[in-house]
Amino acid sequence: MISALIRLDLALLVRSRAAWLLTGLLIAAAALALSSGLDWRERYLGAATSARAQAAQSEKVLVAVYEDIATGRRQPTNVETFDGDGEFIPDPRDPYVAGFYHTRIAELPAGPLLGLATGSTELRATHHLIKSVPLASLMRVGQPAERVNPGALAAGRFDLLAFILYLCPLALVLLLFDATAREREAGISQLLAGLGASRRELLIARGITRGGLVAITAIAASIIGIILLGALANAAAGWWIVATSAYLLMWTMLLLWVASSRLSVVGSAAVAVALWVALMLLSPGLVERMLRPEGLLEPRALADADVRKVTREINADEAALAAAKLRVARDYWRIDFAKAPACADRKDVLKDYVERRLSDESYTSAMQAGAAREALYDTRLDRWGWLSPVLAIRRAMEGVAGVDPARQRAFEQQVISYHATWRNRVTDAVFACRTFDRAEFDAAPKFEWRAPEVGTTPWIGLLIAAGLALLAGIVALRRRVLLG
Amino acid sequence: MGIKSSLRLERTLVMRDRGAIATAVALALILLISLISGMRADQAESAALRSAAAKVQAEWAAQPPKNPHSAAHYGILVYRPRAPLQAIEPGVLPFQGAVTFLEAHKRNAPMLSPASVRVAERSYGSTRYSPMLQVAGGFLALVLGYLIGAREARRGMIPLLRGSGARGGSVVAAKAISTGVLVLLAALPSLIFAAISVGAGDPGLRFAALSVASLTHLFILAAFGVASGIWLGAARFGLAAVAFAWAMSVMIMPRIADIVAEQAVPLTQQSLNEAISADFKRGPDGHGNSVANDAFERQTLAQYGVSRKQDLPVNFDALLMQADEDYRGGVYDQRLAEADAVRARQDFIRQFAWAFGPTPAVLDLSVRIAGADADTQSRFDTSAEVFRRELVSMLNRHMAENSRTGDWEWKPADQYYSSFEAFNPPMPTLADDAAHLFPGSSVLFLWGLLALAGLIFAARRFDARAAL
Repeated sequence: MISALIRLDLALLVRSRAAWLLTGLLIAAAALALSSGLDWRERYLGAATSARAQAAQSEKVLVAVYEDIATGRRQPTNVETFDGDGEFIPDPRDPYVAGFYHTRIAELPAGPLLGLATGSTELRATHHLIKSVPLASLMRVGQPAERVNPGALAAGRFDLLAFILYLCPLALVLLLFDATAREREAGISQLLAGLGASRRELLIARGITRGGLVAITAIAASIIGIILLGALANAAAGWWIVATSAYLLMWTMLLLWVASSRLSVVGSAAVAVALWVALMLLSPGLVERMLRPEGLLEPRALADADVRKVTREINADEAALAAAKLRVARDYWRIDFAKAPACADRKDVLKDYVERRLSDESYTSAMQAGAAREALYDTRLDRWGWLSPVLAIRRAMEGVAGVDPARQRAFEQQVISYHATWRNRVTDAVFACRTFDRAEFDAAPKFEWRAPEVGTTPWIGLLIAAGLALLAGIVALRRRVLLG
Repeated sequence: MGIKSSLRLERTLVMRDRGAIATAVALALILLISLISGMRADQAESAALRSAAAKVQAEWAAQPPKNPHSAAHYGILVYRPRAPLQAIEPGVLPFQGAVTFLEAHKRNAPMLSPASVRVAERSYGSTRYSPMLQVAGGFLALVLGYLIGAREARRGMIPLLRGSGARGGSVVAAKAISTGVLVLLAALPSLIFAAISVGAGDPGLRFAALSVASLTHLFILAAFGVASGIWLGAARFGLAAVAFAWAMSVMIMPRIADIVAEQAVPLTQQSLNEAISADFKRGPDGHGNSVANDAFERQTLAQYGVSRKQDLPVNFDALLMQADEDYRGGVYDQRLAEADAVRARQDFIRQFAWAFGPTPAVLDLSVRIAGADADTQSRFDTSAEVFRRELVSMLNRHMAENSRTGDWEWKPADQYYSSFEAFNPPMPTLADDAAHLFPGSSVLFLWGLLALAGLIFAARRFDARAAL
């Protein structure tokens, strides 16, 4: 009987111009979402082009200077006697100078499914040029801002995730809200009952045809997107498909639950539409705001000001600088200048590095405080995100796609750590009275991105969707509402 | 049956319609929850930025004596003030930098967008009160209108109604008025609550304007709902087609317009930065060498009638620094004005989405009425730059007039830095923003006329169908 009802419903859909229009719009929207997301991926990948070129140019200049010094073609400028006039030829062998001129790029690679989802990639830095200058200068970026139109940025990019999260449920609402009510109101249900069709069978058939229509569109668009990204072999692709299926199954079941009630067509439409508005438009923001910890913005808002305060205090007078130098030597450099060779205590150089070390201390601490608050926020969302299933699923799918804030926080942390390594390498060379020869230059480590563990977040979203789908399905199919 | 009888009948039917009442109650609750939740979030964020601004200003004033140009390099941070209706309509501001670091030689872009630490409040109008009123409220008004408009067609009762003497005009008018009243009643509790929380003065005036625009938008969608309900009420997927057309107008068409605007008039931060850097290389450099430096030196020596920098009665280094500031300021002005012009062209293209439904237009209008639009961000950015130039210029001038060339150790008197006034950005009123409200209001008015035409045609359709 179910297969007969499916055939009947398919015939109904095929004959309906509005259903054709709806399907056409759904497919067009999926195509637009794919094109828009893939366009953003292109832009993301190209965003660091200029920074990469700058780092490569810097390396080329330094290699040329190394070679010229080796062959005697050029003599580097003495940094301690340079008065600002004439050409400055950096001496890359001097670790202090090397600190300014060695430039490395740290890039956050695109997530495996960036292009299907945008997440917060439009709002945070995706690359930094690393030198031994204070961290605050490196991290002081607004946004990757490939999009500089504020209105467009605020409106949000219509990617495949937005299509799946927002538009597919709306299509399901519109196709399923009257899955049985119209038959009841029009008196057709008695005819169907007479033919031996039960309410349960009608619900299952409607769920399969109409839910299937939307699910097939979403999954087909996802597979096309995954193929275009070349991520077919990536486990993330599998998770994406599973999450999409679970999410749309959840909505199908929820709507069948609404449809299985005694509500009239008007009542079913009202409840289904209100459900969509409440779950899609209201609940994510509401839950996010409810779980938002205090002091989320403050550490980052004050980070630069705190750095300024630290450097002002260090440079207040000679005594303040001497005290700061002693503290840095004791806490970080582990050097006793009284016993160290004179070449390790280069006054102007160390003044600079004392300031850098303490400003980095302040800035790192602010960044880490901000990151800790954000991590706390994430933990709360992991724990309570199920209050808004849409939010939980979105976080799960953004995690799978590699466009989540946790990934960007991990990048920030790795940049801080890489910068510290580079800065320490320079100061170690200063204290050891070593020069930065060509071999040292070539051996300087490059930034290597280490993807963080994705954790259990995707499972939570999926479990919520699957659990809700199961619950709604059981309730819908067990309800004792007769077709007639 | 006249209009009064039709209204009475509609009122009775609507009161008995549990679905319609449930939708109106759901709308009222959704709006109230969104309002209260948004106000709490705004308080936390505004307090964070306000206290940071006060702390930074106090530290600037209390800094120990140091060379003024050095103080200019240490710089100061300024924080974007709260928009008048930020709690209920944050607009584009959460996605724009809220803090600008002001320093010598460089115009930094505002950084730290509040949305970078919370991402739910984006996509299709965020979850704050006003976007919720326009998007969710608009959608529910459309659906309510449709369900009320389609009632008789769906149940095959049109001939019965026509037989009782009802005319299309009075039936449609009664349905439109009933839907409008229902929508108004649903929106009213939150509107009253928001009006009390906003208070009087400019915010109150802005809120009054926002309420008028929002209710007009809701009535327009309710009217379209009624008209389409009468037209498509008998079609099985009529509501689906109407609701999906709404989704297209709110979610899809604006994104298509965004994509077209991006492709047709491209502008990236990277291209802007590259153009600025290239221009900088051609001008005076306060801390480096450039051809322009030599020209400036010759010009300064000639102006003072001396042949060496050391013989100048002022500090040449400070003058060069100021020349660098002036040149770079000009570059920023020119390049950012060019970028603004590109943005304006992009926005013009983005406005084509307004042709597909009233919601994109009212969303734009809402942001502008609330003073949370891109112009507000631009004003903050510009006023911060004016403040930076004045600050750096005062510091450079003080150094030039009180020290000699090469004297980088010179320091001003104690308390010098506390004599500077704090950053005080302009706070434009609704009257100042009025010109920007014209396009959105005009389009909303046109949609109102279209909705009216839709109702008239629906009335004719009702009569024609009843005559069959």
